[in-house]
Amino acid sequence: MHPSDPHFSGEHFRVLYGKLFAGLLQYFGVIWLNEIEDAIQNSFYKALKISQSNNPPANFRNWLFIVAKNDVINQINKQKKSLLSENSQFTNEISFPEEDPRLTLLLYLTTIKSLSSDQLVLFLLKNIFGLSVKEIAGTTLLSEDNVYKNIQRIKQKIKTGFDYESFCNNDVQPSQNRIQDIEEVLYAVFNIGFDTHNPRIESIVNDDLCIDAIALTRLLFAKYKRIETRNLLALFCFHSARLPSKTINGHLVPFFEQDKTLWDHSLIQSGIKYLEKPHVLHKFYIEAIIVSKHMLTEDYDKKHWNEVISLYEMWYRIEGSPFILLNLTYCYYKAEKYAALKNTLQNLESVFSNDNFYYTLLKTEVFDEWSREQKNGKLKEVLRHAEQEFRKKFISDKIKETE
Amino acid sequence: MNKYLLLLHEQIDVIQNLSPKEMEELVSSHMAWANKLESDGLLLAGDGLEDKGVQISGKESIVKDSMFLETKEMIGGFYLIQAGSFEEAVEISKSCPCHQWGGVTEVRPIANYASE
Repeated sequence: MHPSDPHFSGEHFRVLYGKLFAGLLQYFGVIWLNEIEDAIQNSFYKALKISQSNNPPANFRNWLFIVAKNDVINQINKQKKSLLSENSQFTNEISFPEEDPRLTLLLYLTTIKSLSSDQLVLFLLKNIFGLSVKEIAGTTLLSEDNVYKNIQRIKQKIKTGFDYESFCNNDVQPSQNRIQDIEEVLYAVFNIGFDTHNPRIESIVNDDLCIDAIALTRLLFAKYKRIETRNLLALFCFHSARLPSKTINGHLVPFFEQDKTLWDHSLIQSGIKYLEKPHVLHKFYIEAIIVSKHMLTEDYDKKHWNEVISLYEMWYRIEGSPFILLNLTYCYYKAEKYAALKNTLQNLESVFSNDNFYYTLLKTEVFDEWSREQKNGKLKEVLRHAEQEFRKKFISDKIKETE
Repeated sequence: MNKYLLLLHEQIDVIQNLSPKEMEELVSSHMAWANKLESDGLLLAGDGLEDKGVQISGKESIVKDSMFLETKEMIGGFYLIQAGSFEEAVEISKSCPCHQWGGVTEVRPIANYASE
């Protein structure tokens, strides 16, 4: 029997980690954050012990919750602090929360204004999405030491900026800004999962992160019904529909070379259903429209590319990210707008280094002022920095084309 | 069939620092392995062992905390299996999941001199 088997728990340990963390934090308070983390780790360790008896408990996740809760209480007792006598609720019999507590925690973490969005994403990757420091380092391209130190700093900020009473009061209606912050965080997590650079994951996609980001976005939408969340879900559906075709036999397949018959058409249909024009244009809507256009068009003719260019330009006016320009450059190339192409490439030169995977690949394809030798040299530079086998294979194939 | 005790020596610091995903893989492997042993009619018993324990020694029966509290390795669990021969028991034990994360399986035949 597999631990994620419905009879055993129905959920992966990573998901359980996030739910246990959020549930226990709600129960004990943020002062015991480190103890809660240790307790969850210990409860998994105890799960290992019982796995050898081939006799798992009937309600595994509740068992985990109780084991972890008792572990926290034991740690508190060992520290001989008087909190137990002051907070008799710790002795109450409680079980695993019915409602997913992760969303509540997310909502309250966004109220801590001293946390930057990057810090929030790091903390969530660790405590809501259940990644280890090593896994986060691989996924974010930060060093393990950097991740560890960052997380320690973030915990301190959370401890000082956390309002326990507000967190426990589920009736509080969050502001639209806070929901928007959560959408941004989920968008960031999905993107980290959708284009992972983790050398231990031999796929361009870390499915776990994508699936969890979608699950939490669904919860968010079910609760607050925002059009922006709806369009974010549409975007996730369109992207996820292409997962079966992103790598074939360990080879990375670019979007426009993918086998469309492998795409998940039910997810595309879900994406179309979720898509809804907002009152004020929003980046999730524009991006979802762009992706859906690419996925649904019959002809990649100039008309198509010009429409997409208009959408990217609209999006760039809202967000101004260089990654939008990167995509826009490719569209200029396909629409044969060479002056705009050259101009945008010049703007990007100061932003991206020549070892950036996407920038260099794009430039070797669209920039006609580089000789074959120059392209060959630039690609070899990217290859030196690539860690995943499928990326190395992809670049090696491109290098061969320049020889 | 003879009986064999498999003692699982685990690297405590490695196991306790596994990520949730890694821990799930290990738990899952142990459960699958125990299931397979059981369905093949080879598993007699198996359990994890608590980290805490004592050692009693001397004529005075002096009780001390177990040595493994100070070391990085401890016996984290056991399986009691039956197999046709020692070689067969060793072959079965090669697939014990504890090896995934630096663990060692010690195979000890249960003494059975009556059948010799």
